Amino acid sequence: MKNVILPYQFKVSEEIARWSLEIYIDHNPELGWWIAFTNPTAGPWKTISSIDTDGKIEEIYRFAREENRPDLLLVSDKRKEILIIEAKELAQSLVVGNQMTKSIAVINDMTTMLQGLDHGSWSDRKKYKITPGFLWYCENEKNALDENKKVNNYYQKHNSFNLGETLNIVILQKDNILFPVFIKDNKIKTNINL
Amino acid sequence: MKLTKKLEFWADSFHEGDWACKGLEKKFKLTNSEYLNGFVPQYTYDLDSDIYLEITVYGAYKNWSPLPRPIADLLDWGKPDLIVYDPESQKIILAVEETAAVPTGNQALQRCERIYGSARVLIPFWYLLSEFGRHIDGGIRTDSIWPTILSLKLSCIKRNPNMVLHYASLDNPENYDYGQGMAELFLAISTEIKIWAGLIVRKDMTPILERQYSQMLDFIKRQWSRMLDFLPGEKEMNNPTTAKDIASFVMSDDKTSKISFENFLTWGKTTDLPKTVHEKIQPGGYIKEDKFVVELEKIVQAKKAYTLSSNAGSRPQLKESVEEWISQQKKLFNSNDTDAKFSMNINDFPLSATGRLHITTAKNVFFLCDSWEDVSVALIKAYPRLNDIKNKYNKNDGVLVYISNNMKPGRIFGDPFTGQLAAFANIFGKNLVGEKERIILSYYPHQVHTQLFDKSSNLKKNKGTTIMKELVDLAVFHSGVLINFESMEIL
Repeated sequence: MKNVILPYQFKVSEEIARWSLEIYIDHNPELGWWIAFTNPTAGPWKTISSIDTDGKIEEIYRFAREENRPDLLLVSDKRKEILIIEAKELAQSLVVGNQMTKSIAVINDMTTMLQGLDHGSWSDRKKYKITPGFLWYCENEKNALDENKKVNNYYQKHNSFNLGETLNIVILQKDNILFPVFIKDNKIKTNINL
Repeated sequence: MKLTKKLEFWADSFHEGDWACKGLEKKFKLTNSEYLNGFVPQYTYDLDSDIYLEITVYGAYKNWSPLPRPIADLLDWGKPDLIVYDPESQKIILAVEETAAVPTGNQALQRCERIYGSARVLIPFWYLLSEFGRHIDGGIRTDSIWPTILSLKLSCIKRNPNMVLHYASLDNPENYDYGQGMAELFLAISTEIKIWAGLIVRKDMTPILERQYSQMLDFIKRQWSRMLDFLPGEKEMNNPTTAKDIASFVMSDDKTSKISFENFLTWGKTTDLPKTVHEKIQPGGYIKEDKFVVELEKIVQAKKAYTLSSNAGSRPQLKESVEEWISQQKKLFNSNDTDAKFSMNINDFPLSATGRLHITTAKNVFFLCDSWEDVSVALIKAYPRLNDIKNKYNKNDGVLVYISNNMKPGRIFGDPFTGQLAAFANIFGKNLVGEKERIILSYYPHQVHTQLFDKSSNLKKNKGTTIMKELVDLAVFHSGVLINFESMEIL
């Protein structure tokens, strides 16, 4: 990871936060996670992919034009776990208006769909544990923990579908470098599997 | 020691910039790839034995500052998915728009403002889209011919590459792995980069453009009769040298050279129509009565204007929404600069079979009228307070009347309306060498004019007003308030 002074200043947005997490996943294959779906603003990425036993990628689901989509779907075959992630630029955006209700509905719809999807290489994965996750950017670790509490309280309050406990992910910035941390039981970890 | 030349790939999302870099791996040997500061992709390729090419990707335009001026200016015309930028010369090398799904119906022309935005400042532009797409009803839809026609016309008008490339096949809709589009796109991008790097000359692009124009013409040939009763310039369309002629004309260093078929893809007056088409001219009808539309229909009835066969579908709206929009428009209406009165009324909107309200006036999105005289008379009959406009233009000047019935405040400044306007104003307003063929008049019966201005009465800056200011001569809003975009006079 090269640290340079970029010629332009940047503001961390939902797009940059989500992209930073994707880089972490792609560049740490030893952790055993892979990206089944990502939801950038446009492009040929409107499908959920799966990996077969030969390592070949296959399309297993295509979203309809108006269908609600999560921001990121991560799969770990080692842990037999799927992470459904809803991302926002800041934690504050997750706890205002009806955003949390909407996000929970998206996660619930995805859970139902993924657990019922009988398609090629996905068939073995439909029994995987599903973990909801929220992703946002924060300026420092201390605030990240406070924000995590707030997001999780809001999540519990609106979790009418009785979805499981969250694994939240916060993008932090140090010396201009962006990196994700993972929050479980309100403790910060630097490894997604810890 | 090898020289390193640097480019920046600016993109709407990092994925698009990264995707473009990965596509280039088929053209140039990748020597290194890494992520700067944990998230900024940087790729290095062997461009030739003496030159490395280093590409840095900046995703999500609005999150960077200062945005290079040429990029910021281009974004005013809509956001292309990819902009290839040389930071040293501060010049844009090319722009790309790509879509994962076929835009259909009303959406078919969205993004056309981006095609025009690049063309007007002579940025080579490629639009990659699927020829075949699966609709929500399960059926297969085919891409509209209008973006391709627009690109052909803008290529000739501006003498600059403006291309549409199609991917996918009937059996594999919306699949990037089928069709020629992807391979052609990366061949074009890599060739432009080689020209920029000084490895080849501009003329080397001509055979590539010739093949791509040929594919565009073939696409129109395959599709036009599904949408239209006739196509002006069928002869040129079937001439095997047309693609070569266009490519040579576009790439010629001699900008005084002429093209022999300047009326190709130019929709003339009713008297220019084939006899069988002229005989069939008839009004398309309307759903919600509108005084100006009624008069336009009379001009068509007299066979002094025509429409093309693409009827606008009606999408009835919830009564509550219509009420809310009327209320919002009323609040926005300000009669300080006009003697017009706000008169939108819920009772004027007819009930649909589903209990919603129709907001569609004319069933056609645009009218191609033979004379300003007819259109000005129609406007004055509909809105007598516009009595002074009759001598504004030569009475024999043709007019394109473009109609948007949308009611939601602000919507006409966004998709798909800006794209429609950019497409139709260029396709029907100019001939192949850019000579003005028609006055452009846009009509917004359910929108109030005051939305265009800020508190100081200056034109607000957004994609919609940018397009209107440059391409529209007159815009008529609710109650016949008319804005002349040349003089910025409000009537």
